[in-house]
Amino acid sequence: MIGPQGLPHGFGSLGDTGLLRLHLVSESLIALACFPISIALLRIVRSRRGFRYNVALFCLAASILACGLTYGLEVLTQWRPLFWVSVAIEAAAAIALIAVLVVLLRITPNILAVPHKLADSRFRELIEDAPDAILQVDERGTIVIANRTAERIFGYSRVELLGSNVDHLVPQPSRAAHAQQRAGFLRSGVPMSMEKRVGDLYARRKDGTEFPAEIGLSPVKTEAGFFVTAVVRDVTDRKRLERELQQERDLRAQRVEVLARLAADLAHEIKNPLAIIHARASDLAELADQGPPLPALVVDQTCDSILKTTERAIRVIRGVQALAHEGSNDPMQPADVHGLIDQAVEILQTRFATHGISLETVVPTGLPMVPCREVQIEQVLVNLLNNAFDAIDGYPLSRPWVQVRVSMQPASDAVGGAAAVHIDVLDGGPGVSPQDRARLMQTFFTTKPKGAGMGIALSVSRSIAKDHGGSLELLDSDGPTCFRLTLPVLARQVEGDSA
Amino acid sequence: MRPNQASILVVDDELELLEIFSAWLGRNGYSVFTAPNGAEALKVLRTQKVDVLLSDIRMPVMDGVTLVRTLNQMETPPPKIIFVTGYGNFSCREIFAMGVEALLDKPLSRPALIEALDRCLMDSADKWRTPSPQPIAQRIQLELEGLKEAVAARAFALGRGGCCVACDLPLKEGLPVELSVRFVREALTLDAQGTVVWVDAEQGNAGVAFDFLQSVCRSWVMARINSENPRSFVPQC
Repeated sequence: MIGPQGLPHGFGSLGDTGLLRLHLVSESLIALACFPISIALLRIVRSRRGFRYNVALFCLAASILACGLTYGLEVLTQWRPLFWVSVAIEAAAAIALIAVLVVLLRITPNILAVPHKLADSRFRELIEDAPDAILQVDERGTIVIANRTAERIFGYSRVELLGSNVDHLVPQPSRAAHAQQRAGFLRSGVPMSMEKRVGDLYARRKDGTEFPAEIGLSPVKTEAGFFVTAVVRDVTDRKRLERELQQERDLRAQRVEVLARLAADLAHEIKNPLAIIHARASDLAELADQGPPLPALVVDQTCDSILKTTERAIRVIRGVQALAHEGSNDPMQPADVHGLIDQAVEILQTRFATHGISLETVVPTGLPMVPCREVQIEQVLVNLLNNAFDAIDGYPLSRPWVQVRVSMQPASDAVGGAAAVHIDVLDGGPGVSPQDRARLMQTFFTTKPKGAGMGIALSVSRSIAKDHGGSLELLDSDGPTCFRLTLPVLARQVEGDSA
Repeated sequence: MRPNQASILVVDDELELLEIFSAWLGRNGYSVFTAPNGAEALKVLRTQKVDVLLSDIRMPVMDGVTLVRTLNQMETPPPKIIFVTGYGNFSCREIFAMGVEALLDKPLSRPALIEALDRCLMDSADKWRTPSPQPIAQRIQLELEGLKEAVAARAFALGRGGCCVACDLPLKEGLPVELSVRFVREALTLDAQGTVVWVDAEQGNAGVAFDFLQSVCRSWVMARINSENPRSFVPQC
């Protein structure tokens, strides 16, 4: 039994089989326990990349593995004298243990510096329930920390988040760019606050939906390498509020624009009659200064002119007063289409006449009543007529005519099934170019020369038409430009008519 | 030219005003032509010698601004131009830069119209000979390196009837001002009295129409105008 390598280990306990059995069983159990322990430790190291004590854990796993092997060989050497192998593994285990010792000595101050367990848990809770998602990623972009808010905002569980790449939280089109930006950020190492970012950023939830986000980044340097803490705020609600506020502002700007245009038009429409009245009166005063007798005919003609011109100015002001009444809070009341059109035409008749533009209305009799806010519809009609005027005035090639043509749309043809009235405003202007057609109803789009209009009135008119359950559109035809205002008629009345 | 020998073309779409203005001018001895819009005015200008064009801005077929732009593109030098308008939606700056010499607001009196016409018909040198009786409201003092550099730096520009100056003072349209612009290179100071015709607070400059020039700089300004022949009355910097 005695070989050149010496006696097998088992000889020491020869004769006492009970002792030998206990020895073998316990050494085997130690060896068997050591392997899974070291494997578990290595798995932790692998899945928690960036954990600050990974080096210690790795050394510990290696030393436990080595110890397990030495115990395994203890069992083997009971029968076979593999002492060199056994001693070599023992030496490896010793080295690994010394490494653990060294690492432990080095990190002990750090471990002691980690806050007391109670404070630590309070600190963690603080982060967990922060109003923003907080993520920490390593140099490769792997998420190593994620708080509860991050789970809620992104819809991933923590298990899914940890260990995955942060680029998955970025919408697909900008993912490649994001990876590059991440690398650039790591190189620069300058913190980036939420406010400093320009442009809109979006993040992606687990279900693939995206949300507007504000992201603040700060680099963290540790013994285990560079990390980046990202604070992500879901700003969906704020963006919605901003949008609503903007719409409100646009609406106000629209009102101001309508008012400004009205003021410029009013100045022109009033100053011309005033100039005539002023001139006539001053001429008469000059004549009176020359002494009597005053020629009766001249006095008569002058006064006649002054009176007529004054009436003209008053008509203009009355029209404006009707317009200034905004009417958006008025109740919907049945109105006669004929009356609506006559009022609008009345306001603008003089302007058209003095500029040599004919204004004709074609309204069939027996039209049903239209439920509407009269002042608002008046505003739309005046605006359409003004646009028609501007399309002709100043364009030498246009033909100087505008027509308002009303027709009935029977119930069956209508989109909603209800009957409606079409009020078409046609003009002899040069027409609307195809590229302008598409943008015509947009706010701030205008084809008029700079200063003549800011392009709001048409979009206001369209929203008024929509409020009335109707529409305002530019008809697609080769003929003259035709804007069609469609207003639904009183349903009951139509039924009554057909019965 | 004696004012009452001049011919005036009145353009307005308000026919009654056209009639009133014609009567006023006729009474003062001017020969008067009329047109109801810019296009008709062009026809008159093609056949008649007109010294002053008295035009409304907002008119059908062709407005006053388009009329002046069309005239500026023609080879023959345009008549002197005065705008009379009640419309408020235009830029004074562009109107004076186009060469318009005066902007009168409706309603306006006969003496005001005649005075503007007479002044318009005066020779520039004569016009600038007598100091303005109006008290000066603001003094604008500027020292510039040289005319060329100042023009390049948009600090100064000279037109037929005034200039544009870089100025941070709180000015208002219609304000009578005293101007003292020293050009170091030319060793010359432009000493003038004038009226602010437009202010651009954003750009920090203003347009000033000359009312009076000191005799030394008057001849210098006249020489510059005659050699450069600018189209604008009060230019933009």
